[in-house]
Amino acid sequence: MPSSRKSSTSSSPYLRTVTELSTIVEELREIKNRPIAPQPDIAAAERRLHEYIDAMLPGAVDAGTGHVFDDLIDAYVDEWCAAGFRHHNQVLADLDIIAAQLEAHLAGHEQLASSDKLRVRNSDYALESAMLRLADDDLPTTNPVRGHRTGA
Amino acid sequence: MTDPEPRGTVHGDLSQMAARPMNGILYFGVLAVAAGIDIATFYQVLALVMKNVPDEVVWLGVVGFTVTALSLAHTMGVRMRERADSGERAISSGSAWLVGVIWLFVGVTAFIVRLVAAQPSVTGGTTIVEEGEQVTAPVASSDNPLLAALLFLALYLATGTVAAIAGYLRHNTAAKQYAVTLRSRAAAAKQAASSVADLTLAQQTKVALDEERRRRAEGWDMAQAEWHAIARRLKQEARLRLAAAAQDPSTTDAYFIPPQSLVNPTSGMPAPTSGMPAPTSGMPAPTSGVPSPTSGVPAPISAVPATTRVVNPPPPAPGPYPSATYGAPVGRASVDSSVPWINPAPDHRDRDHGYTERMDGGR
Repeated sequence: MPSSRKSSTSSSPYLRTVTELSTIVEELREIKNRPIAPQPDIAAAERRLHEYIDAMLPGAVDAGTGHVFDDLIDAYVDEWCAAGFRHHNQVLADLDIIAAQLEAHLAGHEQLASSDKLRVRNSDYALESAMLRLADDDLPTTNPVRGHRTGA
Repeated sequence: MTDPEPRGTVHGDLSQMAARPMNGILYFGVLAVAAGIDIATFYQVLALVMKNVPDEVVWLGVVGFTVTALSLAHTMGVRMRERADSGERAISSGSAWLVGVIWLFVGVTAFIVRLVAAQPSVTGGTTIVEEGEQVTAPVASSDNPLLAALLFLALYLATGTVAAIAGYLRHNTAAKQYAVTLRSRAAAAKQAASSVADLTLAQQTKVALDEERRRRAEGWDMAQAEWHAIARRLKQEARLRLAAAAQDPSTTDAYFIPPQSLVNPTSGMPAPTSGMPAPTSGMPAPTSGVPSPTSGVPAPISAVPATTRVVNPPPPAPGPYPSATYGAPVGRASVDSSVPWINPAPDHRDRDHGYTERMDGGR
């Protein structure tokens, strides 16, 4: 199957655009293989948090100090989100570039395909006319030579 | 009775759409033989005229002369056929006449040259070597120039006629038009197939790109949700470790908010003892079912009977109407608010505007 597909692609009259499209597809495949977001080091954050908790004195907390690590944990998450957003934004920018190339490719190729379809349609009309002529359907029913003989 | 309409010109039969007839091979064979005869006769003519040129050039001229003569004759037949196909007399074609005159002029010229040109010695007879001496054979009577020229002219006319008749009979404008349009249609379809395939590939790539955008948007949301869930887990773990280190139920009680299903202030159920934090005093909210401790220390969680904890308790049943608070009931509420569908309010009957009385009076 891949060999036949390759041969059909190479036999295309639009080799320039096919090469261009192959490049776009390769770039899109590379982007698809990228992770959605970089995986944060959750284990390290958890380990540090436990170290902080273990380092506290035995009587250092009471009923009103249960939130002492909330800000630290929120800061961890904010760091993860910021790094993830940078990665996500970069991927979206790359996708936008590929989308622009693809739109340009599509715009040019739609014109080529439309032109080819028009050529096929005109050929259909010409072929139909030739078939009618071959069947004498579109010819005048009177022949000057034979009509003269018939009249005589 | 009206005369039948005369039949129009027949251009061909529809079977020509299916395949080429095999009798074309016969025509081409005849034309090939005729071309061979022309080559042989033209060589004799051109050899008489082109004496000082290499033999290859003579042969080149012979081939060109033959092709020209056959093409003229064939074109003459084709023009006449096209004239007939257009519904006119075949001999009324001016181009056919012109081509025919030229073809005849070529033949007559070659005949005259063959007739009057001197016979070259090198080609006129046969030379043999006899005992070391060259002996030239005497010229035969068949090498008479007039006879040879007449023979050439006869062959020229015959092959030309065959080519003209073949051109007339073999040429079919309708079939030719059909074959040409069929070939052009096939080429256009092949090109359109390639372009449409490329266009479809590009469109599907666009679809895949849009799908990748959507997948990434969803994945990004899910990643953030996952990280926030991890943060909640870390906070809970931190509280658990802190509470474990504190070894104090009030501290534990203050760190954790009870589930919503355990918070039911309107029911008669006892409020959860582990519930609302009271950070300033450390005292839990007083429970209705459990007597308040006298020591000021909140009761531990284990002190609450497990049977009093009801997960997802049913909604409370409606109690009697609080007449002491809101006064006497009015309207529908005055009947029986607990079963209003059995004893509906009397205003239902008031709204028929005397309909029942009118019906009774009508009887």
